[in-house]
Amino acid sequence: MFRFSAKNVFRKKTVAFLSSLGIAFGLMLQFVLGGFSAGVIAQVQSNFKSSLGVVQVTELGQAGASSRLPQSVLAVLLASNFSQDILAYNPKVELAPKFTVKYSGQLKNAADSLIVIGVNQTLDVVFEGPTSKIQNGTAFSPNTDEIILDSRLLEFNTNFSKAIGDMFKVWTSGTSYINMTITGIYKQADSGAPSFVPRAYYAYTDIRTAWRLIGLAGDPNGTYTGIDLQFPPVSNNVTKEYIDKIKALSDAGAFGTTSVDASSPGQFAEGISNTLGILNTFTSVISFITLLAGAMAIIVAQLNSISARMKEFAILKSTGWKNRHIFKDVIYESLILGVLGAIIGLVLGVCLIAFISNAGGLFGTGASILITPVSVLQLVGFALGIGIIGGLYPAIKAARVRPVTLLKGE
Amino acid sequence: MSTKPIVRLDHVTKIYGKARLAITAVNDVSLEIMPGEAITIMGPSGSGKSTLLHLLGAMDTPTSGTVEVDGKDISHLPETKLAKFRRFSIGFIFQSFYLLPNIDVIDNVLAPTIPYKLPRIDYRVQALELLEAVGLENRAYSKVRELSGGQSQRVAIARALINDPKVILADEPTGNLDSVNGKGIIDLLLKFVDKGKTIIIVTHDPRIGAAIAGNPKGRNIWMQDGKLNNKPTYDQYCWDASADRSPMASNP
Repeated sequence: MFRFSAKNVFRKKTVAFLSSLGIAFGLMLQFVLGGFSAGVIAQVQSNFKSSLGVVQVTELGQAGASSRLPQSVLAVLLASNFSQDILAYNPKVELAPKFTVKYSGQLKNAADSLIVIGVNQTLDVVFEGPTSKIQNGTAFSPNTDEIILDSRLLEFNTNFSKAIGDMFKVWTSGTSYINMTITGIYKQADSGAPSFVPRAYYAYTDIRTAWRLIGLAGDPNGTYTGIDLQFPPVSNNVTKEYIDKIKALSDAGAFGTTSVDASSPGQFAEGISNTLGILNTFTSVISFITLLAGAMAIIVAQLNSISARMKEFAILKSTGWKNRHIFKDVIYESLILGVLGAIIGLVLGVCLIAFISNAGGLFGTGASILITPVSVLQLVGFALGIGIIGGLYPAIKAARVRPVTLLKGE
Repeated sequence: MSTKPIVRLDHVTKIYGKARLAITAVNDVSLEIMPGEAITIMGPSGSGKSTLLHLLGAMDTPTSGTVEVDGKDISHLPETKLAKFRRFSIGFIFQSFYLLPNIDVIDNVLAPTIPYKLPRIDYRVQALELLEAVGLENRAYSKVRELSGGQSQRVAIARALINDPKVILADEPTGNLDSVNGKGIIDLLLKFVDKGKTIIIVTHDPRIGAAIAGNPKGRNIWMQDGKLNNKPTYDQYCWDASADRSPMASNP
């Protein structure tokens, strides 16, 4: 029966091939988008896996450089009943927005930003922060006008002209600036988000240099803009428990007049994954449209085919074929068209993915596009679905043919 | 020969349409055909002969009366049972052959068996034997488009016989053939009558009627206005002969 259907399906070769090609383009699009979506999500999750257990403490209601945490906050945290769980800590001072870094013209997107942060190098190394990830050059020296740069600055921004040994200007006002020397490039993993998503790049210097720049050098009350705490990297839920404990301390007034907020990059990763879920939804919508368009292509091709063969079906019925035999024949033909579309779509999709990969990844992110056995099976499943849905109406129509109606007058 | 008729029509009427638009194609026809008989149903266009053949082949159902073939009342069988009946009891031959163009000759002969799980080799041997019987053993693997009209009709006959039916129904089997090929097809069908098959041929070609009537097992049945008319008038016979477009009629 299948062999018979296979012979019939290509009687109108051009129509059959074009309908398969239509399905193939749809499935190719779905395959590539699905692979891209999976690749980006995998990369985001991988990037944030290393930050599992990290809690960032800032002043409540103040983001980035606006946050002001007295040093007593760290002392309270280190004296808390969960202090034994703090594996490492890393207080930071973020210079912006008081001090600006005017390199936006050299960055890929207008909304991208470059932020200078001061850290304690000793603590930062324990914390496996940027100073422990020097790729080229060396880390900054304590309390000097030296700085290290984010590797992505050079990777993603072809116009960014700075290199090790160059001077880096941190503007203290509209007309004056401090020249800092670039001593090294540290490796910074990217989120994997498409390149049109605004990015923040980071330059690090010593915390005392940062304090000096903002006029707090030697001040025993010098503040932090944030403190990173490393808790056991168990799960986001466990990390969230520590966040709740810190917030509870703040609510209980343990930090005095300062209200403290806590969050984790893991939660941020979850947020990004949720955002990327929109991409998945988009892929699903494309898939659904593909399914409909593919099914329509098969319906048109099969209706065209069966309308020319109604008398043949009538003859076959007169020889003892049952309705379901005719139905099966047409469905098999539709399935063959669908699977052929899947094979062409798969080949085109793999070629397109190879092309994109050679071009540095979709949207220039370098994000890999995942081809998994599941995605290939999904493609084949879709093709079979398209075949069945597309073949259903023509199959029913063909199966219902009444021999006498067509053969009358013969 | 069995004394029990293989085909029995009892007061069969077939009306198409309703009320004022109703057309009585077959009007109260009763008929018995014995096993091994060769029958021609003759008559002018619109006389109801093809409708009668469709009723016999379970392609249509009567408005009233009963149609019995091979001891089964097929008047109102459900579709699945009708399919089974068509498969085992009836072989249909059409004027336009209706071979499947994309498969070769032997697969056309085997077409009725395709959806069934059958011992393929046995049927293949049987198909080759049938092709030999119709004189096309050397064309088994030819493409259908390479066949002449006469050869195509021979393949259609082999296809009608693949399930070894007791009754063969032929609707104008020589209508698309020249006189030589037409005569060859009738001779071939009569050979199967000699082998015990019952053959019912619808035609308005008096030459076929003459050929069948000349066979000891042959009989002509005449239809006019949906009714049987076993003894046509001379005028009726001449009208049919003159109206016939078959080359057989113009080349006595």
